[in-house]
Amino acid sequence: MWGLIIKDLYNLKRQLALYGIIGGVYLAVAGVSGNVSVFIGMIMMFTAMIPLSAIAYDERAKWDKYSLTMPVSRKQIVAGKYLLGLLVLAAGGALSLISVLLMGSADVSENLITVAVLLGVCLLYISILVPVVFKLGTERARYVMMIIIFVPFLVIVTAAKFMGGAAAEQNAFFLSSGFGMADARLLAVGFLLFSGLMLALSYRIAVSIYSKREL
Amino acid sequence: MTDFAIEFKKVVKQYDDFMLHDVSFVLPRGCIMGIIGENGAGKSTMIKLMLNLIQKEAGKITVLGCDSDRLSRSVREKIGVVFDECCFPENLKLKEIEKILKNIYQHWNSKAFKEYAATFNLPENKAVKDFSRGMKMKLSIAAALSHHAELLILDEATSGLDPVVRDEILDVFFDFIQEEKNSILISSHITSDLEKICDYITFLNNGSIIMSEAKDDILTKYVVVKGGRDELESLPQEEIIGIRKSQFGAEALIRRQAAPIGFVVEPADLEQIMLFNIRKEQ
Repeated sequence: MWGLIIKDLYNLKRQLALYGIIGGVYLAVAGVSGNVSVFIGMIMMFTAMIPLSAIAYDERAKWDKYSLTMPVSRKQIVAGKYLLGLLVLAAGGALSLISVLLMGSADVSENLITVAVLLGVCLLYISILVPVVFKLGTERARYVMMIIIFVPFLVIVTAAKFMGGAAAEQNAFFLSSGFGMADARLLAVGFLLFSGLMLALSYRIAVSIYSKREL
Repeated sequence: MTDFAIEFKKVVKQYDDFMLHDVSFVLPRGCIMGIIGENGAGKSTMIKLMLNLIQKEAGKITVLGCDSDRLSRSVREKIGVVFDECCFPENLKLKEIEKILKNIYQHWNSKAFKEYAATFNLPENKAVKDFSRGMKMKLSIAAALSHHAELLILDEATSGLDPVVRDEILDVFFDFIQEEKNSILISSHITSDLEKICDYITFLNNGSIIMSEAKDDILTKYVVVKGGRDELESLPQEEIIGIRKSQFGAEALIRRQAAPIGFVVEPADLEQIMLFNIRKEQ
């Protein structure tokens, strides 16, 4: 199985390097501005893309058909992609944490919550997309990917437009109701746990999809 | 240890537009079997079935004594496969591929791989996407031969290569088969290659096996008879397997024992046997 993961890392090394460079630029910007949240968002977005790129490359080379003639099981191929995702996510998460601790302004706690929430979002993103890609192939899964990215975006934008005026009142409501940092922290941890559960569920679905796939 | 490297018993695979009917054949250990047939005859389907890449509807397939539905890790270790395309992701380089396979195969032989890479002149610093077709095939063959495989499964591994490279590769297969327990299954539509190296030939047409026999038996069974169109048409039609008529005469594939006296009779090669069987009248 380790062979499958180093295969992806070798194959994606240019992409990883490119992400590293872009990340470096954003880190520098964050260093100057003192605002690390953009950098964190960037890093997380990149890491969530990695397993999907790996699957796309495999598909193009017809690697799956080939690797299944080796002492590798279908389950291991699926597990390999999730592990790759977790691996790069862990690296991205660690980088984000370090940047928060070293460069974040006074509100470290708020930034930590951002890291946790984004980690959760990335886990959800992987959880939804990996089984879809295994089922439909990368070409068709691309549309699903767009929907997953744009629908929440549109919903948020429209919601913000309609509730624009109400936002200030809402903030006041949250403050007056005593919704403090501790609750936000709890919410973030809960969300992270939920995403982890979704990932486990997604893995089981992907294994069942992939075990029936004709190659 | 069973005597067969591969055994198919009444295997059926159904697609919307194509069906593999009741395919049965055996590849004895220590032998080379060639599968011939036109494109779409079902050669690759058969290979995918034995590797459990696709599911069969009925029948039983045994590979190195193991049911193909449950090919164990240890059996997969002993199989080397070369497809008609190089399946390594495009950005990988030779050294990286070596490291990857070392982490996949328990009995990976780095030394053998490096030696094959040197013999085949594979470039060290190029990514797979910049390899020529010949290089890609050689890379796949080097990988298939470097983990102590006992069974090589080659799906159109020599097609699209020039005659010199093909000859080089056939020599490598010859070396491999010197080991008594080793076997090769090779599908190709280049019948001359198969004629050179195979002990057995399985001839597949439109999803069915037309014949699966020792190559020498097949070659001695048929002859090509040449003569005038009228002369050949006067022969008993049930003896004629296929006939090709031209402006100047005709030639027909016929069973050796039915060969008429007074005609020009030549031995048939695999290509003629395949063509006359598929295109009954040309």
